[in-house]
Amino acid sequence: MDPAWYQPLAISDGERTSTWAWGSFELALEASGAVTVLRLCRDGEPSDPLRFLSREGRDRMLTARTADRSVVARPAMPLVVNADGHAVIYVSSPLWVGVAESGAPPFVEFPVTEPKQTWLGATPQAGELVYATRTQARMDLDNLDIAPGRVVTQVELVNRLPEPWPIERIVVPLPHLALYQCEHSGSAPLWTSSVRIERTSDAEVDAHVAAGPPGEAGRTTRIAEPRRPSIPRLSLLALGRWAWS
Amino acid sequence: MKDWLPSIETLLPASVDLFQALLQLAIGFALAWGISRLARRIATRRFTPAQAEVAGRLLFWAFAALGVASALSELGVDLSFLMGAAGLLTVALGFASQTSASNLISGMFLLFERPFAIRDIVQVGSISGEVVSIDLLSVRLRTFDNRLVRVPNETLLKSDIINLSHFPIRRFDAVLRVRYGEDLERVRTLLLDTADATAAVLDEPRPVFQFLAFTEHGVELQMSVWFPREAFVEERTRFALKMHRTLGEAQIPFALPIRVIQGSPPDSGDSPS
Repeated sequence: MDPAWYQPLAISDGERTSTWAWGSFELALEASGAVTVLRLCRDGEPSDPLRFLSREGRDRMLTARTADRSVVARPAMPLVVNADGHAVIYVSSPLWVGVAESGAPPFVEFPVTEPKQTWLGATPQAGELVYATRTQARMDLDNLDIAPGRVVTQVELVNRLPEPWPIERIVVPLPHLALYQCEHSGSAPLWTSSVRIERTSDAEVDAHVAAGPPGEAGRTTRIAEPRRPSIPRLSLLALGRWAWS
Repeated sequence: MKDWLPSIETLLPASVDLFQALLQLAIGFALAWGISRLARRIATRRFTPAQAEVAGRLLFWAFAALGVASALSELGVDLSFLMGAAGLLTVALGFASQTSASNLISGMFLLFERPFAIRDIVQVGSISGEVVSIDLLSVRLRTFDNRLVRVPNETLLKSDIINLSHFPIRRFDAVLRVRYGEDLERVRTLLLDTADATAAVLDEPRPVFQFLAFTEHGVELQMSVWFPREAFVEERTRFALKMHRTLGEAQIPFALPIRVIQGSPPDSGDSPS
């Protein structure tokens, strides 16, 4: 894919049609004057076209962002971080693409792969709706098989307690992470800022958001800001409820 | 002109200051209006709009009554007599408006118990719909076929109220009946895979497949999945259709009621003599 696919599309010289594809998801954008028509096709099934009207003379732009909610990744096979140990794993999540007028937030957005929802909370009464994903909890970047339109997050798990830490769920706070694109062709074209999750007590773990993607991503360009302000530290209760600090 | 002036003086005691009485009445109502407005504004921050409205109204009428009592006192009216009359009137009104009073008190309990709020979807007895307003005497519901139903507060207080929109997620229990002899393990795998492949079905709480009963027509099973509340009705139907299609494609039919009638030859049994 063109490394600058997220750049503004100049339509000043008349009608312009562009198409993009990520795996089985295709998006076609027709921009003519003030009218923008979007045609989506998911798994070979086209949906009804969407039409948007805006002021004439404004360029349209394809946007890319991380998911609008956190993602809970459940390891496909049991994962235990031993006492005082640490592990680095890679979790992937769907990319959200949208269309914006240049300089404005996107007026429409879609996930490239339809994410499955899940409930993050100690009980069905209290918690929040987030997205779910299964992770192979790959520890080696070379073994990472990333489907098109998926974003990779490096998660470092640090166990500060003198007892094993069985990992049942890894919560990745995607709305707080910026999106980066690799400037070279690597195993993963899209990355988010890294996250370090530390278990400091039986009841609580802390998540720290890094300033950028890991060094393994190579040279990257920051293509989207976090949806919500980035925070230096947030704590996650062991049973799943967010408690911001 | 002068003919009627003395008649007023005879009607009102010498100490009566009509202007002062009117002033007190005006101050009483102004105070009532101001305090009720302030109370509504403060109460809105901590309570529901309906509760704030009730608190505002109660304060208004309490202060307005004080203003009236003060003005009457200034006019020289004996308030103790008025109180006695008011007491008798209250008893008479109480007997006459037992139902309204009961609804009013029930409304107070409901307002502070808060089993639902405006725009919640509730079920009361056989009626279900969206709460449109919560008033002192009744609650108005808009049913799904767009009828307005007024439910008296007393009825609500005595009934089981099911709030369908209180929690953010809801569980859907689909009861299925398959024929004896079907591979139940296969049914279980097919249904759990269908749930996993449906984006709207929540990953957690996990979908549950369970056996319910061996019935006379087949094996009764239950598939339970969770949906976000907002999408519940639409996704429940979509998931039921998907389960039906999956089982149909796997050639696992639902069990139908079957009656087996066994006959015997006329000479094989005892015949009446």
